[in-house]
Amino acid sequence: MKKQHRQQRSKGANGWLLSTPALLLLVFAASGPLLIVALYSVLEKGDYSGVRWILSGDGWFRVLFERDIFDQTVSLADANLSIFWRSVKLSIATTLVTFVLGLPTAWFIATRPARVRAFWLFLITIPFWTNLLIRTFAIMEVVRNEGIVNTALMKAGLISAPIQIMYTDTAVLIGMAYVYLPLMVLPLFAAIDRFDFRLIEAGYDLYASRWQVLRGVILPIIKPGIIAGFILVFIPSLGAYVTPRLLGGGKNMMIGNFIELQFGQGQNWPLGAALSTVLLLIVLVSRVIYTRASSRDNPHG
Amino acid sequence: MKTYLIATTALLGSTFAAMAEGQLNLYNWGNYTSPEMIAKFTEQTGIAVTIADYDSNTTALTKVEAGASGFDLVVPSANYIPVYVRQGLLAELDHAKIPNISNIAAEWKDVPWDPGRAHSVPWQWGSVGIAVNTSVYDGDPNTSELFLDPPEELVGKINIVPEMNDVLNMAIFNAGGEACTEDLTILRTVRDRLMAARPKWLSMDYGTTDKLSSGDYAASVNWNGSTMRARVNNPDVVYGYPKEGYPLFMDSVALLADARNVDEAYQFINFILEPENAAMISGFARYADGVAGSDKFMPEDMKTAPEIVTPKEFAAAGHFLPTCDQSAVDLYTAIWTELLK
Amino acid sequence: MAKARSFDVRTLPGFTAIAILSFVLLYAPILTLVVYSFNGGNSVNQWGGFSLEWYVVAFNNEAVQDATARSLIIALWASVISTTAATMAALGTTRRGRFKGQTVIYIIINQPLMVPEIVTAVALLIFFSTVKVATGYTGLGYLILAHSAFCIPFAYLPIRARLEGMDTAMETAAADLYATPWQTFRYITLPLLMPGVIAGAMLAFIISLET
Repeated sequence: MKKQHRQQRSKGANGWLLSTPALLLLVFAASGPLLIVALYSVLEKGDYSGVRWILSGDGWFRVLFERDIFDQTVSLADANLSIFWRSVKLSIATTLVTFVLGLPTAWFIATRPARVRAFWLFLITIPFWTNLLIRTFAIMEVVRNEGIVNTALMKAGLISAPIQIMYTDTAVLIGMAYVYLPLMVLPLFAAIDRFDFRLIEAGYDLYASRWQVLRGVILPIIKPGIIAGFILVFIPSLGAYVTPRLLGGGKNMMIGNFIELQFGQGQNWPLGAALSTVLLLIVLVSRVIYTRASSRDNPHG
Repeated sequence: MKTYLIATTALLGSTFAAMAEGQLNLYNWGNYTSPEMIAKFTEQTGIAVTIADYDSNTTALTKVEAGASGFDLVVPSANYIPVYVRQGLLAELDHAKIPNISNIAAEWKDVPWDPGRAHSVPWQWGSVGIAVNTSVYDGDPNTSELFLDPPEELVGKINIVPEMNDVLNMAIFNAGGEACTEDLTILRTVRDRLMAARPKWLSMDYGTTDKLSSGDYAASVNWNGSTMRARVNNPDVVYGYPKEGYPLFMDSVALLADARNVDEAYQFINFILEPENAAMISGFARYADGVAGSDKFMPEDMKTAPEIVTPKEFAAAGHFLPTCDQSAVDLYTAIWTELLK
Repeated sequence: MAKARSFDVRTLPGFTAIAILSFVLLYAPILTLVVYSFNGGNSVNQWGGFSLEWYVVAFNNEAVQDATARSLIIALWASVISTTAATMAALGTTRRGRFKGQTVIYIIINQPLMVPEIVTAVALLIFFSTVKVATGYTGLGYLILAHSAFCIPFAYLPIRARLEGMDTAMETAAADLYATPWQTFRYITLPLLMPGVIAGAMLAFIISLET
C-alpha cells in the first residue's frame, strides 16, 4: 500500500517535471501578459499611448458609462453595449452557420472509403495554409458591389443594381463563417469517424425515421465533437478583429475592433484593457455553460 | 529533426547576413511609397528596405510612442511633428550628412512646425477634399455638406477616411471655426452634425484609391493624390475642394530617436531629396513633393491635373493644420472615438 | 443479419449536397481572388490581362510581408520549441494514471485556446512593449517565445491523442530487457509517437504562420 503510494507520488513528480518547460513558457508568455492586461485596466491613461502608474477606475467606469463631452452628464454607454451584443449575436450566428454546413461535410468525409478519406480531410485544411488576410480579401471579392455574387445576379437579370453586402453585418457573418468553417468540420469529423454505424442499423430496425435517427441516435453520440466545434468557432469569432475590420468597414464594429480602437486612435489603453478583461470573462462564462451542458448528459465524459 | 534545425539555422544566418549588408525600416502610410523608387535605392546602396503601413497619424504615433517599434524612419503629417518632438521621439537631423538638403524648395525650407527643418524633410504634400463619382451624383462637388449632410444619391454610399484631424477640421471649417478651435459651441455643432450624418455613411475605411476606382464608393472624403489615381482608372471620379474650407497637409520624413540603422536612414533621406527620386515618389502617389526641380521629372499628366493644380477660386479655402494644444487634442479624440464606435 | 434496405444507412438526405456546397464555398473565393489578382490594372476587379504586378505590389504591404522570411523563421523556431515542450508534457500527463495537479496542467496548457485573438494580441503588445523598453532588446526572440507558447496546445493535442492510443506492451518489454528509460524512449516510444509529433509540429507551424 505504502509502496503504491510512493509510486503514485513519483508519477506525479515526473508528470510535473516533464511538463515544466511547457508550463514555464505558457506562464511567462501567455498567462503573465494576461495578468498585466488586468493590471493596466486599473491604471490612468497616458497622453497618447500607454499608462501612468496611478490607480484609476476610469477604464472600468467607461466600459459601462459614458460622460458627455460637453455637458458632462453621465449615462449608460449603450453604444458599448450594442457593440457587445452585436459581437455575441454574430458569433452565435457564425457558430450555427458553420454547424449547418460543417455537420454534413464532416459526415460526408467520414463516410468516404478509408483510402480517399485523408484526401477530403486535406481539402478542408488547405485553406488554413492561406493567410487570414488573403482569405478575407477573397471573401471581399465575392460580396463587393462588383463581386461575383452581384455580377452573377445582375447578369441573370434578378437585380438591376448591386445589393450592398459589403460593410454590413451580413458581410462580417459570411466572412467569419468562411474563415472558421474548417474549425467546425475537424472536431465533428473526429467524432463521426469513431461512430459505430451499427447503431444506425439498430435505429432503423426499430422503425425510426431518418430524422429520428439523426436526432435520437447520431447527434447525442457525436455531442462531444459538436461541443468542441462550437467552442473552437465561437471563441475565435468573439475575438475576431481582422475579418470584421475589413468587411465591416470600420463602422460595424465587433468587440475586437473596439478594443483595437482603444490601443490606436482612441488612445485609451486602460479602457482597452478593461474591455479585454470583460471579453475574457464572457468567454470563461460561455465555457462553463458549455462544459455544464456537456457533462449533464454524459457523466462519464 | 537534425536537418530541420540545420535548415532553420541556415535560414536565420542568411537573414542576419542581409541585415549586415544594410537594412532600413520605414514606417509610412499605406500605398504611399513608390516601389520603383525603393528598388532604385536598394540597387544603388545595397540597403534592403522594409516598409510597414499605417492608416492614420494616431496609429503611427501610438505605435512609435509605445517604444522600441524597430522602425528607423516615420512620415508624420506637419501637425504631428511637434508632438513627436515634444515626446522626445525624434532625433535631430545632422544636416552635414544630407548634402541634398539644399534641394528643398524655398517655401518648405523653414516651416512653422519644424523650424529650420531640424527634424524632418518633405515627403509629399496635398489637400483633403471630397472625391465624387459623377455617374452617381452630378451636383457641385466643392462642398463639405456632401459628407455632413449627404444628398439622397450618396446616402449609404459615401466613405470617410479614418484620419481624425482631416475629418474634424473640415467639419469645423464648415461650422465657421478655425483649425484647433476649442470653442465649445462650434465643437458641439460639429459633434452633433457628424453623429447625425454617420448613419448615412457607408464606411470609415482606408484604401480609398481602389474602391473609388471600382465604384464600391460613390464618394469619399479623400486626399487629392489618391483621387487622381482613382480618376486615372475611372474617369467618372472628380475631386471637390470644399469651399467652406479644407485642410492642407505635408507629410515629412523624420528619423526616430531609437533608430538602429542611422547611417542607412541618412542615405535614404539624402536619396529622396534628389529631384529625380522625389519625382518618382510623386509619380506614384500623385502628390506634390517639396523638392525644387522635381517637376522636370514629373509625369506629364500631373502638371495639369485638376486634383494637383488647385483652381484659383478654391485656393484661399485651403488651410494648413497647426498643432493643437493638448486640451484640444483631448476634446477632438473624445469626439472622434464617439464617432468611430 | 441485417435486413436488406432500399438505402445505404450511412447516407442522410441532403448531406452530400450540403457537403459538396461547403467545398465549393471554401474554394470559390480563393480561386476568384487568384483570377482577379492576375490583372494589370490598379484596381483588383477590373480585368486587364494577366500580370504578376499585383503580387509584386502586394509585397509592399506589411500584411503580405509578414508571410515571408520573418514569419517563416519565427514559425520554424516556434514549431520546434513548442513541439518539444508539448511532447514532454504529453509524456508527463498521459499513461501514468491520474496525479495531483493534472487538471491544473491541462488548464494551463490549453489556455491559449481559450483566449480570444484580440486579447492575446493586446496582452502581447502591452507585455512586450514594456519588456522591450526595459531591456532595449528588439529582436525576434520575444515573438518566437510568444508564438512557441501559443502553439503548445496545438502541438500537444495530437501528440497526446497518439500517446493515448498507443499500447504500452512494447515499452514494458524493452524495460524487461534492461533498456534504460532513455533507450526505451529513443528506440520504442519516439518512433511510435512520430506521426503524432509530426502532426503536432505541422499544426504548430501553421498556427504560428497564421498569427
